[in-house]
Amino acid sequence: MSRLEIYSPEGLRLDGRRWNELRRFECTTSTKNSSNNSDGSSYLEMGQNKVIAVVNGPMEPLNKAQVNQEKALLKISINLTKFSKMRRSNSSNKNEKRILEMQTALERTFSETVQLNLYPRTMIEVKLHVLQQDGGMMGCLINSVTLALIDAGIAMYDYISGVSVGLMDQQPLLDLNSLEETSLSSITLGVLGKTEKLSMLLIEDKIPLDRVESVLSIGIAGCHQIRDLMDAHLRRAGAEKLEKLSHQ
Amino acid sequence: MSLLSVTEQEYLRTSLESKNNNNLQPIRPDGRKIDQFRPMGISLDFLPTSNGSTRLVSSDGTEIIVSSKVECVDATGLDLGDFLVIDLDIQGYRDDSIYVNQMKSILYKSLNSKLMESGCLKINAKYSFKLCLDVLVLSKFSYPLSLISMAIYTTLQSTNVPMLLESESEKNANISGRSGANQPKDIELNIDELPQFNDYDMKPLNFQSPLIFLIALIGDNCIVDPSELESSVADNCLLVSFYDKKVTAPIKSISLNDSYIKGFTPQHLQKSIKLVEKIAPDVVAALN
Amino acid sequence: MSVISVVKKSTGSLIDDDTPYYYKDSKTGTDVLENGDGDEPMSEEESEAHDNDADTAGIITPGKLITDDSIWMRGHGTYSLANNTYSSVCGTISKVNKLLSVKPLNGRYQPETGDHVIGRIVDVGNKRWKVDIGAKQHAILMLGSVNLPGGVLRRKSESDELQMRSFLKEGDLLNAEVQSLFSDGAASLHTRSLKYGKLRNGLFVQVPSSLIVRSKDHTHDLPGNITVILGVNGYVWIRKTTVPGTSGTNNNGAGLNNVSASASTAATLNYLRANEKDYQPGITRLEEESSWEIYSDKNDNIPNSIRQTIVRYSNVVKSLAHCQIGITEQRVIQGYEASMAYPNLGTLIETETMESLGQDVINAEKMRG
Repeated sequence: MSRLEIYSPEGLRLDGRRWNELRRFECTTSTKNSSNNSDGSSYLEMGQNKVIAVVNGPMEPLNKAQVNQEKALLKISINLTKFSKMRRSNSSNKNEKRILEMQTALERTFSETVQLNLYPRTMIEVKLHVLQQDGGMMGCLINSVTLALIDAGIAMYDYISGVSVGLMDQQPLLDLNSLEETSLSSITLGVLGKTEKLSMLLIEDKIPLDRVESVLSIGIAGCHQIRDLMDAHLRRAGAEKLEKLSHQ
Repeated sequence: MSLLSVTEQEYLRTSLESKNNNNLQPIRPDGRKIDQFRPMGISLDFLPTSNGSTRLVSSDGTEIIVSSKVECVDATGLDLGDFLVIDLDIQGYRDDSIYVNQMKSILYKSLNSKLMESGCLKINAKYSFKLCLDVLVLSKFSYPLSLISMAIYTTLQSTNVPMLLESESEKNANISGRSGANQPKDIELNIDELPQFNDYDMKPLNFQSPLIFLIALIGDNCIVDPSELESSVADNCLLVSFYDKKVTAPIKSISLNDSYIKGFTPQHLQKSIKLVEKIAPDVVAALN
Repeated sequence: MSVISVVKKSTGSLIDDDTPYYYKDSKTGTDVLENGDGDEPMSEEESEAHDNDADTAGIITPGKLITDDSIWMRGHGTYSLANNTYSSVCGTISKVNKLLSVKPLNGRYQPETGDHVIGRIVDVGNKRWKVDIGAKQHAILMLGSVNLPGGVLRRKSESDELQMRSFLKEGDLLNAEVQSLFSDGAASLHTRSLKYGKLRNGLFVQVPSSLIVRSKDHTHDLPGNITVILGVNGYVWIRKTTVPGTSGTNNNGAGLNNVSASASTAATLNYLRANEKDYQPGITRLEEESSWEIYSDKNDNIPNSIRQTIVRYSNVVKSLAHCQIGITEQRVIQGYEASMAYPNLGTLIETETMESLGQDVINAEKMRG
């Protein structure tokens, strides 16, 4: 794909965004109405990414050997469905190395931010189902997990929001879609709340060292924006629920 | 499935076995009639990269997602069984478990022959569509096969396939020979012998897939759409398929629990089939 | 009435239509980042203060500064950094004296000492049962915390340890009181009163624990000869009303002949007492009543009409839960009366019926004032 298509001289990207614009970001929480279900859940659409997250716990660990006397065990699993891409993949993605790596990265990130020490001898299980992928998967997963954990009422120090940033020559581009992602080098970062602390940083491509700072700063700004969007949703959903409960 | 106490089981059994004099109905734990389903919500077409998609949420919290994708394949040298792929992923069960595989094979059997008979996947003499159905069961509380079949039904009802350019279909009909190694080809490829599709126009697949009904047998009673509680005390369960306005094969018995496995009589079978014949048209109407 | 009700929509998204999009009410008004916004470091205090202004509904989210006043004691749902107290969950602030906590909107049941709960045995172990009460961890019921056949004065022997399954086994439901909490928050239960013990003669319903209001009494005798136990943990038991001790006496299995004899005497005694006014089961009668019968696995004979009433109550409780209305004795009765407008029990599972039932209960309450 020509460089011009990805970022035109007029400053427009393939989908009409400017360099510092996020994609469409919509989310819901408590997606299930029934009480005998999960403790928390979220559904997130970020561009054409569609992810369902389901949280169970804190609960008794299924396996006694996993009991940690000090804190809860956090398990995150990713189910990349076969139909999630334009072309259906024939093999199951479950035990692919890349997926296992992503799971570990998410578990490490959230183990720091969730107050696991409050729930000793229990297990918290997060299941992610990717229904459709469109670039920037990792950032999208981070946001889904954050929403679902908060929905489940699990104590966290702060939000973690994630986004990917690509570098086109000298120009950082925020929140890459899949076309951009395949042709640019990119990084994914997870930011703690409204701070500038990074709780996750994935750089898998070559990025000139002197550009890293500008890439990070737009990424952090994007994460703050996402955090505000999630916060706005949770407040609104919370207020709705509170209104219903106030009949009591 | 959660464990029940002895007294709970006994209570449920007696309620479900009982014959109320007034209306001859067993007392189901949620008060339903024997032929009443639990309400459900269905969302369609939320996956733009699939040809059809459904999310079905039943009132007990069962959640099922189905996606259908079609691709164009060279039909020469392919068996009748090669045009349909069903993948079933039930959370909490291994993909190679008996539970999942049994369900998968029932779905495949009930669907494949009818799909082939209808000929709706055919493009022209040489090419055909291949249908891939992916079923993801996010949560379930009783045997989910009936709900899966409904989700597949609505998915296929809303599935659109690319339309063939008129001239191309004729052209392709004349192509003969060309050794057909069965290599699936991307529909956008522009090779001569491949059918050419209209870029934007899609047409509905137009196939009504068979529905599968679950009839739980308890004592002399037959009840439709057994819930988790009912499943745990049912003697047996009949699985009855319905296609093209009539009851059809496969009809099969499955056990819903490990504690109450009992045989069934021809009367049960007759009663169940009658029940399905009575309710199925309503269900089809509700799903359309 | 149709056999099935299906709500179908085709909107291209799983997000509900009626949910307003974020940008319609978020303060930025757009998802476009202003140029240069990214380079401008935003000071933390500033943004927190800004959040406070926008906060109208009283909903607090994780990471939010609640107070920088160190006078407050920090309770659940908060954490502190350098004298500042932050929220760690999404919920509402609650201030009790000097204790500041944030109550999460969702979350599992948190046991407190004195709670009347219903639980299900999941494991029988060394001198203890493990009980699922819907909390983060299973509760513990010690062999020493239950009444065993033979009364309170009876000494617990090794044979009791061996036959724990004949008292309570996996799957059994019981109601109990939270006796104490372990340091990790798990509950220890006891059933040392006649109002507690194994549950029979009814149906189990589960609702979110947040809907059950803690009150003095959680066992309610309701119209229609029904008793409802509203466990604080959201587990609800609906059964036929029975006078304790008078039921199921003849049902004890073979091999317990000697005890069943004593059981029937106890039952006769109770029957006499039941006819007295002000009958209250109490600690003094424990001895006679703690027979094998309290661990019986047999139901009484329950007529179909009662079974139907039980189903009606269960559907009423589910409707209240569906409408997220707090469940109290008064409201259950109100809902039951309102449900009489629907003679067919099956209609009570339809969404519209549940919602109109919930509305009826609210309206009735408003009328009463």
